[in-house]
Amino acid sequence: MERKKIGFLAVVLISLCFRSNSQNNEIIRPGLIRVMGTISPSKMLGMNDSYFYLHGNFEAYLNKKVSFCGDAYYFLGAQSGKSTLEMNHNIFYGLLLHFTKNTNDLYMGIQPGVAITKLNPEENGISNSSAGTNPVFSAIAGYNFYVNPYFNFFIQSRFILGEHNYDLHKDISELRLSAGLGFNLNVLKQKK
Amino acid sequence: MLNNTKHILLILGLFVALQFRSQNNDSVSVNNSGWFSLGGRSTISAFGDEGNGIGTGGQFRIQLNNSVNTEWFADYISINVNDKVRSEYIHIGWSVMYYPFSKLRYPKLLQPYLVAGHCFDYNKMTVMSNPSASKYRWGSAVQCGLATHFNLTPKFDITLMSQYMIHFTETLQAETNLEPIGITQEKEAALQGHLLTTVSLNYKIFRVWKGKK
Repeated sequence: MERKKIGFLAVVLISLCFRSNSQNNEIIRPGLIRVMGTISPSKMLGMNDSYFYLHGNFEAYLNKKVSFCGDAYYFLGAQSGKSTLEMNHNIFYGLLLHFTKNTNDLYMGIQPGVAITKLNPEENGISNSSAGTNPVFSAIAGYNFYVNPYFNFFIQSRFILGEHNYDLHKDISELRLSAGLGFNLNVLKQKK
Repeated sequence: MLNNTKHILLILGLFVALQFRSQNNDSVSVNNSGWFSLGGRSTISAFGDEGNGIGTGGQFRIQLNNSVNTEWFADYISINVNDKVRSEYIHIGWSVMYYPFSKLRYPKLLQPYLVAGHCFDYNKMTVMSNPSASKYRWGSAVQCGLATHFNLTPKFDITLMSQYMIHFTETLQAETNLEPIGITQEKEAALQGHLLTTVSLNYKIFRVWKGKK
């Protein structure tokens, strides 16, 4: 009986989502704000390490094709035991180019940024390490599906090119993947 | 009937030709002066004495007329010198952009241009394994090169630029073959440079002034 009730509620919620979606004329338009937070796995390209990050994002659509996007990554640690880096936080900023159709949003872009990095002294055979700021380049591609005016599903991949130049030189080029549920809101009225 | 078809085809041909002419005239008559753009940039520094490096920065532009634009930028570049020394540059400067081809200007997708300008620069060299061994200097530089905008939408462009920057200043030299590693400052000003290849993203935000069409 309980299962039936939960199932019924789920169906009602999903149908409400899609009804709301169909009622709304256009979600992807100037003034659309999008935020998300997720856990992002990565693979380093210059060393045999894999890390996790807490990834947060803010995006504002300037028009249907272009958005301003800022991303922050907080380093959570290594996926396995080995961790060459003790810290690798990032901030990125840039503009994304969108190819949209209805509620589908395929995008790509370039985001310059900085990495605040620190080496793990034990793994690198040094007595202590210092944190430092390194410029990085990143290119991203991804897809958003806007379920309704408030929620979206997203997947994003990011290539990062960079170098750590404190204590020892390390290549911090990396591939990252983010996916999950995002929140969106239209803050400007739709032009008729 | 044949005559009528000929007339219709002639009128259609004239109409199409006039449409193309009108489009061409439109592309030439668009006035781009007064636009203020803002954006971010990534730079790769190469072919310098120190090695290759990556930079991050930003810029704004104020377009003076259809032929001339200005760019005001700031960059932070970090260069790895032989895995032993970190050489950091901060560039704050300005460039004049000249669009020589009247038929290759916005709203055309490709918009090539010549660029030249001046910047103030700060360079700091630090031995990676011994951060207390560090020296810095302030200086001045000029840069010139070639570039092109990719006008992807009416207000958004990606720009690829390659320019050679020459520093007019007393240069810092890293002696990475010595032990301990030494950083020296040349007593006389020397011409030292590097090739900067920049990819930048720009968005036209508002018009500072509106020119006549």
